[in-house]
Amino acid sequence: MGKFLLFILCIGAAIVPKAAVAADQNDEGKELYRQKCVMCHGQEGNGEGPARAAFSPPPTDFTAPQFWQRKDIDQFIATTVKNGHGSMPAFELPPENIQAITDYMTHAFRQASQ
Amino acid sequence: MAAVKMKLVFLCTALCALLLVWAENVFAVPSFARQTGMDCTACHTVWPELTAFGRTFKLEGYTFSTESESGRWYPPLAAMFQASYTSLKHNNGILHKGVAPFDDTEQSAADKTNMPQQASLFYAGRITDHLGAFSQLTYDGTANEIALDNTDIRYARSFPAGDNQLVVGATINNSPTVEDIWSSTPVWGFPFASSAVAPAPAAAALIDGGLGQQVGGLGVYASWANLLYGAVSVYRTADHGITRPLAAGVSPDTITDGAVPYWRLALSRQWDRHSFEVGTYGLKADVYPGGTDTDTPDSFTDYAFDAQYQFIAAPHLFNLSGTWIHEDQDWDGSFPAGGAANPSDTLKSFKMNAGYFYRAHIGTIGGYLGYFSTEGDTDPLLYAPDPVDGSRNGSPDSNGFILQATYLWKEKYQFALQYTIYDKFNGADKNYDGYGRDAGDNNTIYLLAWLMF
Repeated sequence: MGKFLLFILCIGAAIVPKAAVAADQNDEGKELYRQKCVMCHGQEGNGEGPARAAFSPPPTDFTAPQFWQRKDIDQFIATTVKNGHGSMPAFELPPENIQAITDYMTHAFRQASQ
Repeated sequence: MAAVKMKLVFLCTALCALLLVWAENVFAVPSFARQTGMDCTACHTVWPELTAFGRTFKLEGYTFSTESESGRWYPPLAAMFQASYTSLKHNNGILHKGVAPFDDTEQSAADKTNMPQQASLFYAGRITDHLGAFSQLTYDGTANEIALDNTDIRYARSFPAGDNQLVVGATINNSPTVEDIWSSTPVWGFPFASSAVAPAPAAAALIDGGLGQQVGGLGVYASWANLLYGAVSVYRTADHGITRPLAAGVSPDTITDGAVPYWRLALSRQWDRHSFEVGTYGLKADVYPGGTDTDTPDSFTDYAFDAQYQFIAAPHLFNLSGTWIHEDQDWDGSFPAGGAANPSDTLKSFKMNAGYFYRAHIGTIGGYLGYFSTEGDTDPLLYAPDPVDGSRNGSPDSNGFILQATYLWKEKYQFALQYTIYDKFNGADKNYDGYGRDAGDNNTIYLLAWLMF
């Protein structure tokens, strides 16, 4: 029993910090998305941000299934954030911030697309 | 007296340094950036040049806003400070060693050091959901005066038009081309800042800054699918009447008669990291000679072509812009009065510049190479001999190059070293003014610190 509890504690010790880190990263990604992306892509990721009406073509809808069908979607998001695309400006963000945004988008919008 | 002046210079410099530190923490970004939550680099390559996103932001009336900023109670304010130093190749007593505005007014107009050259307060941002403004109140350090500067108040709406968007808007502004969204038209074209005290060529087309804050006008514009842009405006003198507030603090000395129509048409295309624009613009104005609305006005018809290419692939930024302006001048008032030797003249000007920048961790570094040329009909009464500013042979022809190195730190503080080289000045390269001054004597070194808060 004692060994089992110790085993559970070890597993918990391994999982909880990662979960905490994951939650922190998700919060960080969410905040970065709110700061940099909401204006055009909207809070729900559906391309219906406050600035949406001005753009031709419109901002990408991240809840659309076809957006997530690219095999290199993570790299595509990172490259687009870093370099911009069309009317979308480039963002000067360190790699870990771009990864946080990508993780948030995957967590928040990919499921909504399915 | 000199000690008092130096103390004031020191105080001013210390205040600027404090603002650099304090503003960094309190007013972290200028008002547009604060309103949108976006970095300055979202809308600008190196300000004031706009990116595609920045052009859309302006078309939409400066109203893009985060949810938290849309309900703000405080006005969207920002500030600007320019300090500069000017040196001529051969000064010959033209510029003084003093510091404007701490000299008397007459000396300040020709002081090498301007601290400030300009200081401005901006109201720049969203007023309501579809109404926004860019308005600048400027203190001119060489003239020691405060006046309304570039102002553009606009209302804009977007509508679906087929598979694309149509943006339509209206603008009230006080300078033809201030409402434009490309860097190839006069108000927002290179050089974006220049010496306020160095000698400058005598001739320029009216649309090339001649009506700034001398007129006020109402215009409408439309942009379809980020492909086709059109605008028409009608201006009138800001000397009196309903448009007087648009020249607040200014005593207009270019008085127009009646309506001044302005037009603009542009084709643009954005693909991947490239954008391209080609267009035309122009105006027609009747202007009273001598700055008073009496007698017969002269007539000016300007038509111009422009183009801009932009490549943005961080960390690389590249911009190529150019404009050609043709002006027909009918001296219906000046010729009979003996102010012009010809009943009509023409003037042509051409400007082109290329800029490259690299966004490094320490800031954005790069520069511009520009070429300018003005050619026109010889008119010995319009362009008479006069020390420094005149023409020996009555020709307005001037041309040369502008080289500028720029460093942009923390996106808000721009430092520039600009060198203007004249091949020809007011009609000649040697003894152009009839008093022994050569065009190259006016070659100008201009150091600028341009700070935004």
